[in-house]
Amino acid sequence: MIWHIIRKEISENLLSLRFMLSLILIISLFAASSFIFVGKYRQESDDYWKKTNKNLSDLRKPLNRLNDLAFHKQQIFRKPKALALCVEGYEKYFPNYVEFNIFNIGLPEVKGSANFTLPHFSDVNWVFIISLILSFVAFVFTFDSISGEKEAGTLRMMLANTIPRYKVLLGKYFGAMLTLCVPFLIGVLVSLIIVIASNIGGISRLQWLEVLVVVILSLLYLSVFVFLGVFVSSRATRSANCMVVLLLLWVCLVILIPSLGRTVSSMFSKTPTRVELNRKLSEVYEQIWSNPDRFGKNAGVSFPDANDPRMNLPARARLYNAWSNAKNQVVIDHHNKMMAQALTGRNFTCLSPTAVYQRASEAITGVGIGRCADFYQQVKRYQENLKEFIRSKDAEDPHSRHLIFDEDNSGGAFDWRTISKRPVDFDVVPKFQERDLALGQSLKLAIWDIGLLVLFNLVFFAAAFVSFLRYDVR
Amino acid sequence: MLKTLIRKEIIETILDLRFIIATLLCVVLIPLGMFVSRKDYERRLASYQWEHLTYRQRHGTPATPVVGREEAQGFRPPSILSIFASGLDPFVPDKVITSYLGFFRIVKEPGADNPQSVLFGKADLLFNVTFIVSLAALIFTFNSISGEKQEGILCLVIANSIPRSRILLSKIVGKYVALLIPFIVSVLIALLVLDASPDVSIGSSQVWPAFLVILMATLLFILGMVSLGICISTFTKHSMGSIVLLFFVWVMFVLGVPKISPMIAEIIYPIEAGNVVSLKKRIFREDIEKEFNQVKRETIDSKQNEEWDAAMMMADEMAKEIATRKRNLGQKVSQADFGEVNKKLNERLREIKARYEPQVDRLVDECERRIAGELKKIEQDYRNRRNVQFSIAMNLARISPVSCYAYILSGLSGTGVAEPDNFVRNAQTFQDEVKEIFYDKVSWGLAS
Repeated sequence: MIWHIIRKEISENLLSLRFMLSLILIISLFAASSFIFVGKYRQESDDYWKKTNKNLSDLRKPLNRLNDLAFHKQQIFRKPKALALCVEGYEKYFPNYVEFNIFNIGLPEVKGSANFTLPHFSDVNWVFIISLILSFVAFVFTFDSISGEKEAGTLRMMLANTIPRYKVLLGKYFGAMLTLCVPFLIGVLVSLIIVIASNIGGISRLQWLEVLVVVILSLLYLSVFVFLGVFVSSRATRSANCMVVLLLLWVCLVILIPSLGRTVSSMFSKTPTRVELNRKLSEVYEQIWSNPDRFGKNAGVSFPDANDPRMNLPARARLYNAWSNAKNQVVIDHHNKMMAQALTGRNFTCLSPTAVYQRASEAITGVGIGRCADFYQQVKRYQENLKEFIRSKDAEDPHSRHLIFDEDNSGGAFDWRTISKRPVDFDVVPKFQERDLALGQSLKLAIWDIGLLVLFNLVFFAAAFVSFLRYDVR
Repeated sequence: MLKTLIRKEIIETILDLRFIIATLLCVVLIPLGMFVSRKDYERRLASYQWEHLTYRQRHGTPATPVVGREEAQGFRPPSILSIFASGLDPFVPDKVITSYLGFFRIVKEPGADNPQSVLFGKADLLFNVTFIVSLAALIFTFNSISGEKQEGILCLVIANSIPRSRILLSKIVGKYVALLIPFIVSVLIALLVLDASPDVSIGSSQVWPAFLVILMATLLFILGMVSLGICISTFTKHSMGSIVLLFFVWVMFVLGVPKISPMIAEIIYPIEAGNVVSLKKRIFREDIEKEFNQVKRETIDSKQNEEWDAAMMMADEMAKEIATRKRNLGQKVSQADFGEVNKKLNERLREIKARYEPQVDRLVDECERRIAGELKKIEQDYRNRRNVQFSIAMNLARISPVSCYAYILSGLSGTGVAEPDNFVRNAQTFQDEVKEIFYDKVSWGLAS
């Protein structure tokens, strides 16, 4: 009997105007987003490789002397991701570039690739289409599933035939879900065909798995809205009222609560400002340089000739290293505070299934704010590795004083010989390579959000079930 | 009769559940959004004032000796009206640095990009009106014609020989007035929230005229959305059909057209990415520097090195002569004997350096001017192309009333698309003023 109900629901939906409109809208949006993505991804990949190769070719220049390598500033850029097709996570507006040498690391910056005079919305991608459009389409298919049938008089006739109410409920749920799957899966297929046919680069096996997980997540997300639609329909006596309530719920869940994250994070945590950053850097400078002699006698005084009896290079090295470490700590703390504030707001938005779904998709595909934070960590680890490499190479040179600190006096009339001047082979120098997380680790990061989506499903199913059991069908 | 119909519409709407929900949403969200925008403005203003003060304290008077190559810095204050529409304000450069070469640089301070403003979008008046109030307008009006037709009320009303135009007008006016009630109340509360700020005064001449125009534009926009809702309602027979169609139209106007038009503009008129232009500038600078270094090596360094070598040889010979004379006299040769030779050598080297230094300075100056000129051309070209792309996007987006409203509001708030060019013009004016009062008055002995 349940299959009859499902078939009836599907055929009713498929023959309706709303299905046609939804199908056209969704397929057009999926196709448009894929075309746009292909063009952008090609351009971003070209840009990324140009800049990365420039960085590598610049890295070759200072290899005649290890000392020059130590002071050489590298510029590392974040790699564009193929799975930005599924979810972009506002990445083009997040910092994508870090400049550093082995002593100092800057804050990640945005090297804008977009025309900032164009409206700075997120691109239209899968998660956008599903979270905004398909979620409302789910409501459109379910708002009159119970109340509409009551108004038409067909509900009491159906229940007069001793069909268990839960079968009716499940039939409506599966009918709506299967109807939604038609435009959704066609849209996804069209999108993938466009991307594969454009030859922007192969999609690896891992990426196919990630796409599959995103599709499953999307179905889980849509299921929340189907249950919610059925629940509200089983509380209303008139379809018109049901639609109004669902529309307002949609605005709250999909638009308002995700936006309120900013209000909450502003109220509960202070925004770290540039003024504070600069003030802290000044304070650090004062702290270190007001009493340099605690690092050793004459630490704060420099002479061109390292053999000058007044010169105390080891103390000067300690002073500079303390200063570099303190500066870097201030920069890192500032960065962490910004991330923490954003994440506070995000945690509040887990009241909304849309925000939870977006977060889970970003975790699975490895994009978004989490990736930006991880990118910065990877660059810091690389900086440490490079410093260790230089230290070990310097240790092999008996002519060097082995004092690795941020003051270069290797040119001019005098050479302090603090770092080795020996040449270095390019092939042995560590190079930065951005690592993506394995699918297992991505799933671990997304597990709470997936759990929340399942919980939303269970809660709204339970609500719809209880509500429909007590529904007056007359 | 018209007044009766309008009164009926207003009472019907006010007694509906939708009115209560719309009122709650407006009264909570609009003042809350104003509070968040106000805090954001206060933070940016404090940041600007601190930078300005610090700069004046540290660099207000150029350190002596003045060489004429000092750079002056100018800072862009945050627009007070960005509280209503933040627009492009977070993206526009906020500092200008002048140069004695006549070419200024505009920079955006790094490290200030807070991810939360990107993650969560804006909470300003523009956002609240385009998303919440426009949706409320559609919720109020979707069944104004089709709903009454379904219930049979419409034919009863028309049977009383009331002109259709009057019915339509009464619906538009009635729904509009009913929607304005919660909107105006929430705007008044929001203004109270704004006035509580020590940095913002509603009564100031900077704020209230622009705010009045913003309010007029907003009221016009709401009227447009109410009319749209009633228009769609006349196309359908059932209120359900109306709401579905209205929703799709709303999605297209609010989300679809504003997002798709920039994408179409990028396809029709693609431009290079900003960081590719930066890379281009960097490579260009390196090429010019290489070229000039080669010219310097061939024309100046070679001659200077020749004279240098000749001076060293002469000093060597003098030193040998002294050493030979001393040995012949049976005296020991010491470092002190060469004192005079070293003195003469140092004098000669200084003389050679002084003679070539102006040529080197002129060459460096020419190099810097050429680099600055070319970079300025690249930047100007990129800016022009970016503006063309944006005009295409803007013209395409004007299909949507939401985009038109957004452009009006951001333009009035000083955060619109004209702002980047406006800043560049102001930066040029600043550069010219600094040149007139400082650079032109300082001479460093280079022939022009």
